[in-house]
Amino acid sequence: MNEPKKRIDGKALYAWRLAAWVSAAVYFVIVAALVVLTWKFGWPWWIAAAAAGAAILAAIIEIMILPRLHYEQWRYEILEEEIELRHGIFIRKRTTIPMLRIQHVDTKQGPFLRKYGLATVSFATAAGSHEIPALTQQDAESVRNQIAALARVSDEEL
Amino acid sequence: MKNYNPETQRTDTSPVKQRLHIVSLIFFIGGAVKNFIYPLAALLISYFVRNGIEGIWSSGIIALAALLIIVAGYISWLRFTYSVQDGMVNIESGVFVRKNVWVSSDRVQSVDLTAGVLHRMFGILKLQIQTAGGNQAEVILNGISKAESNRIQEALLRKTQPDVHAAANTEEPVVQAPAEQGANARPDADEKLQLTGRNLFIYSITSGTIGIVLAVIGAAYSQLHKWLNQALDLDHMTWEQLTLWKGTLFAAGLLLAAWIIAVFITIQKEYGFTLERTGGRLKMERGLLERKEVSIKLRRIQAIQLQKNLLRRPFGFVSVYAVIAGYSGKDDKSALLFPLIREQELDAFLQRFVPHLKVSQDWETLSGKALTSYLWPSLLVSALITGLTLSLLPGPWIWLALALSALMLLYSWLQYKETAWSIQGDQLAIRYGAFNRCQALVPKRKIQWHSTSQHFFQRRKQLASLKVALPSGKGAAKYSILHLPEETAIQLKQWITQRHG
Repeated sequence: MNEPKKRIDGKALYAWRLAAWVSAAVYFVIVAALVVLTWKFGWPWWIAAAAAGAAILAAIIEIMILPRLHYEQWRYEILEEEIELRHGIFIRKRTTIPMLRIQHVDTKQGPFLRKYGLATVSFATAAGSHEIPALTQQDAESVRNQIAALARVSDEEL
Repeated sequence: MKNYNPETQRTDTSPVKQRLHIVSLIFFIGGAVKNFIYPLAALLISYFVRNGIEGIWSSGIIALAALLIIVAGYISWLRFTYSVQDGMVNIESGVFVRKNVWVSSDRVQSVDLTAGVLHRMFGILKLQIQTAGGNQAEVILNGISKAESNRIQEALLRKTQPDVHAAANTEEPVVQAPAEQGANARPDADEKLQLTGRNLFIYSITSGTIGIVLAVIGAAYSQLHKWLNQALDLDHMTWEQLTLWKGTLFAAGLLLAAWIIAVFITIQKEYGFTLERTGGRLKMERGLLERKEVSIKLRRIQAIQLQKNLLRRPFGFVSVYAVIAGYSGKDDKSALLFPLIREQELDAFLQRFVPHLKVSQDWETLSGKALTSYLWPSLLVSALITGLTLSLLPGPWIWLALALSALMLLYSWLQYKETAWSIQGDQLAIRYGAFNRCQALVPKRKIQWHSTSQHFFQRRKQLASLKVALPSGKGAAKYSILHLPEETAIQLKQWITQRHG
């Protein structure tokens, strides 16, 4: 069986990293608050130290490692009869969604994706929805149109 | 307005708007109580705190509040109307915010009729219509007569009769709707099966309801603990006084009581369970005090689940569940189709009621390579528990930890033994479970999406997992086969992807 080949857009890395930097900033604020409280109320210092360590570790993983792995693993393919997705870092997952089962297609954009002109395409079936993250806006648009054109009215109702 | 007259409905082109039965005023008042209870309670309490509780004024205020609630209930009852026109049900409700709901018969997943004790005293019913979307019923008519419910079902049925899917699925000639006949002349069922009293008893004594009862007793005990302590003077009755045999006796008594309650609850619920098929429709009826009737279209059934729980397994009894898009009854993902049936009768049962599905044979089981994949998670947890117990809780606790570990390993090993799959025609069957035994019969064309997954250890052993997803009552019903050979996973994936035809 052919593996899906198309990659998501490379700018996704920047968008994800930016999002990770923001969450790192949130961690920093929490740790700072903890340090202030520790100083004021005389809590044991190891709590703040452990929190700081965990925050730094999490930030490094989220900024440096996860976006890259995530990007490397993501593949998709939109065929005549179905959509194929492949993703996952530790558990590699291959999902097939027949065109006939797709009920509607959306594109959506968060603030980070918008900054880099990216969008996420999601398609819903009667048993949950799936998405392709971070395509360029043109790609997202064409994927959406392609799916909408291929997903004819299903012959099998629920 | 209230009494339905068939003649006026025939001649009028615009449907007649009807109100619910006057008894249902009680439910509307109940609803009003629920809506106003917090603001009213706040108001009353603030009044009493300021002015103190004094005879006449206080009772006057309370009477006024009660009157307000009754009037509010009455108005909302008055403003609730429904109408039925061929294949469409329309409900208008709300006092300030008017809500208008239309449901077309093509989208109806199930029609539920319930009659609680109060309903039965006045001969009324609660009718609920569910469509595929959302969790709760779109249409709830709490309080209509039997004739009215028949009329509504007829109206919904009439539109659906020329439905080719249903006819194609069942190979049975679709009974032509008696369009010109009265609402009471409904076609007889093609197939009918009633749960015998003996089987009801067996079902009840082996049901898992005892777990729920024990949980309720436990919750009640933790709430009443203080009160019980004072009443029974438990503080003075120390653990030393509570000898071993007394404790055992107490526990056994509690279990027995819970079990008896559970048996009665189950009998109440499933009493006189009857399954009927008329053309492309299934109807389930049940209940002792509260009667319940559910009717669904056969083609809405996404999959059948056959369950043998631990207690029923040795006797070869199976419970049949159906996964239905948008309908789950009170159960989570699937609805009970028939409580108890002998394994030998299953073939004939499916033939009669769900003809497009069959009992599967020729099961393929896992290869020996998969065994370790099943065992290592529980081995890991066992090691952790045993290690922690050894270091933190010395003494006899270690035996408990060891027993727990043994149980976990047994569970995983049974999971490995149970897991199997089979393909017959267009049907995929998946067997799973451990102490309880389950089978899912899935028609290929109902699968919404499927996926295979592989983690690092699976990749090394060339194993993979397969998952298929179907629409169900709440979200998706997903069935997985864990750790099957990689090439089998690919074959199954290809088989699912191939168009049926």
